[in-house]
Amino acid sequence: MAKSDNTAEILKSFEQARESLPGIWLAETRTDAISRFGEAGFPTPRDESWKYTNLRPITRSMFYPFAAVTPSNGAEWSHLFVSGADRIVIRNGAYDANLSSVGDLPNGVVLRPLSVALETGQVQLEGALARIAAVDDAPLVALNTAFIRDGLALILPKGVKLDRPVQVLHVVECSEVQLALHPRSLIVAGDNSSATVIETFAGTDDAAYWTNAVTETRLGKNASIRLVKRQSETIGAYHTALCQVSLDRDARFFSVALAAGAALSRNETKVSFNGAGADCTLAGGALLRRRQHADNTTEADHRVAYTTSNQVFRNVLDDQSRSVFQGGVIVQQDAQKTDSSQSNRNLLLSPGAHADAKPELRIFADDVKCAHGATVGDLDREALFYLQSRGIPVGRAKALLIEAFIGEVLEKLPEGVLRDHVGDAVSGWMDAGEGA
Amino acid sequence: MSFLSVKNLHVSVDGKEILRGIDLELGEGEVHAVMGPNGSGKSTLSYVLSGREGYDVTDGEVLFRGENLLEMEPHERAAAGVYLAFQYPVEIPGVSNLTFLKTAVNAVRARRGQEDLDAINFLKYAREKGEILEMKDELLKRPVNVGFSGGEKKRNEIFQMAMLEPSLAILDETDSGLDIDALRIVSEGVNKLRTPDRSMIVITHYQRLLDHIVPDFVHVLAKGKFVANGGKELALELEKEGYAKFGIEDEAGSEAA
Repeated sequence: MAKSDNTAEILKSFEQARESLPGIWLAETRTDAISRFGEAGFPTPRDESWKYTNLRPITRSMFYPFAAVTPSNGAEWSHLFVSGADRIVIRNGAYDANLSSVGDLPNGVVLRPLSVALETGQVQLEGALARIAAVDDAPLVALNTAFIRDGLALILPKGVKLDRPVQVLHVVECSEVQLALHPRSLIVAGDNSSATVIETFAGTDDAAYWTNAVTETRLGKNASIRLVKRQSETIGAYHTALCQVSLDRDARFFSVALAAGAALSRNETKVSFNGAGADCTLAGGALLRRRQHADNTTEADHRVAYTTSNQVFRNVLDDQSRSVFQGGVIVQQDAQKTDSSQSNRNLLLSPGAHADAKPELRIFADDVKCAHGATVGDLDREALFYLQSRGIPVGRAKALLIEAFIGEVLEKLPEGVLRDHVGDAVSGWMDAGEGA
Repeated sequence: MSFLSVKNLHVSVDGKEILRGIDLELGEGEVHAVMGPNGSGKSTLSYVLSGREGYDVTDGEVLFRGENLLEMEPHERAAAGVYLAFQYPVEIPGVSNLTFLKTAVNAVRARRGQEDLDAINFLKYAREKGEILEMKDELLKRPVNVGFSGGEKKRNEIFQMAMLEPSLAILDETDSGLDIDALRIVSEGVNKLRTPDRSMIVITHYQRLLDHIVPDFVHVLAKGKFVANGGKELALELEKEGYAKFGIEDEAGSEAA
């Protein structure tokens, strides 16, 4: 079949890269994954779940799979370091030991760059890596799986609670060619364990690239994982990401994902509830201007009884930007007493901005609570005048109202380094708009 | 130069004329009551003086200390000393009263050439002013007016006034929706803020408020014009004989609430 996109080039580049990819034991999985991608090709707006997000800017571009890590070009990333966190830095797609720092860990904890774990920790990764996120009907996951090179391996034995958060910082400094990066994170939380993981994505101003990330997370009984994501990619970048979560009984997954970067981004989170009492909160949103496009797509798959999910998404849109929220909730036949809620609000700062909000509830059980709501509106004129009448100039007044709006996402994080880290993306966005 | 001079002010909203030639001279430190039935244009007068959009001045002028008030942005008017206590204070979820007030006070101070108050001095200042209105600290932490009772909202309006130290305060139906105790606290707060260099326009439907805040002058507004001007005794007359004496139909009737 003749294709007008870059699928053929990507398949070719895989053949060239495969020998250099880490972890021989993963070779078969890679081969299977790349053929899945080859068969399916990129998703298009004809696929229901990609109706509002067109990947054409990505499929029409030429990407290089990997840049050999060059010595740091002097780019400074410390402003993105979360203080007090163990840190793994992935630079141009590969682990950078110099920028990374991991302290003493409780016995049995695996906290390593994935490239290292792939070569040394086969036993620990097998049965989890590329087993939680399926490649069926997920060509971008398949592509990521084929190209797995680096990222995070975090394995928590039963009962271990990590005191320090773990930060995975992905940075791209390459401006010579457009890189395609396929970072992979694997988080396996044993029964009664808990941790906080921060994923940060950024690049140097002049870098244009495509990040296609996959995060696989499996929580054992009564385990608790908090996942914080700050997407501050460059304005020339594309970002597609899937976070797949599997929850056992009484497990709790809590995520906050904020996007302020990338020309085009898609942040997909899928949670499957496999044990009673499991609970998840998915919060997030985007701050957009110019022609940026950001898509948050979720799926809370309630498969068993007595599980709860709560989704809170807020988007702020200026200029001609566009946001998509597809809030999926599935309640299977056996999932009685499911309690799910979702709320999506969009704040339009310009008549040219556009928000698509699509709650998608598929309910097959009869004794459940499923609430949902979506709104699109502009700044409250009354509130604006009230602030101005107290001496606050209109620009500052608008900023206060925007901060309050996105604050509904930020306040899900405890005060301190976590909220500050995501909050910095908000203030960076606000500052960049001043005088524009 | 008079303190505030309103001359032949005509104001339209959506093409409909609401104020039809208002003349008002306000001296420094004077308190003027503007009374009138619903729909007479009371709130329009307060909004046009504070700079709300959507109010078209089709004729006339307003000079505040010799300057053209109508050309100023709302925040510039606030810095110049104009303050509106809203009839219906606006709720702003997600913005704490404290952040709001600190931003406002420092914005106004900056325009007046004063230094920013730092966090500690601001809190001290806020507590000091809060005592006048019997404001609980807890109200400072809450989002602006969200979950406030009617009385707390009105108290918050006067508290903000105390913080911003205006030279011209416009109180738009500050008495509406208040019970006797709340009315007492609010009007005592206003009276404490009554100084020789602070003028006030007290807009009200009822005489009741004027028992507490005694005006120097009273103006009766009907259908966009002052139909009577006088001293405080005019308010009593109005209370006794009703708006009908001035040929006005009061749609809201007598004080029912």
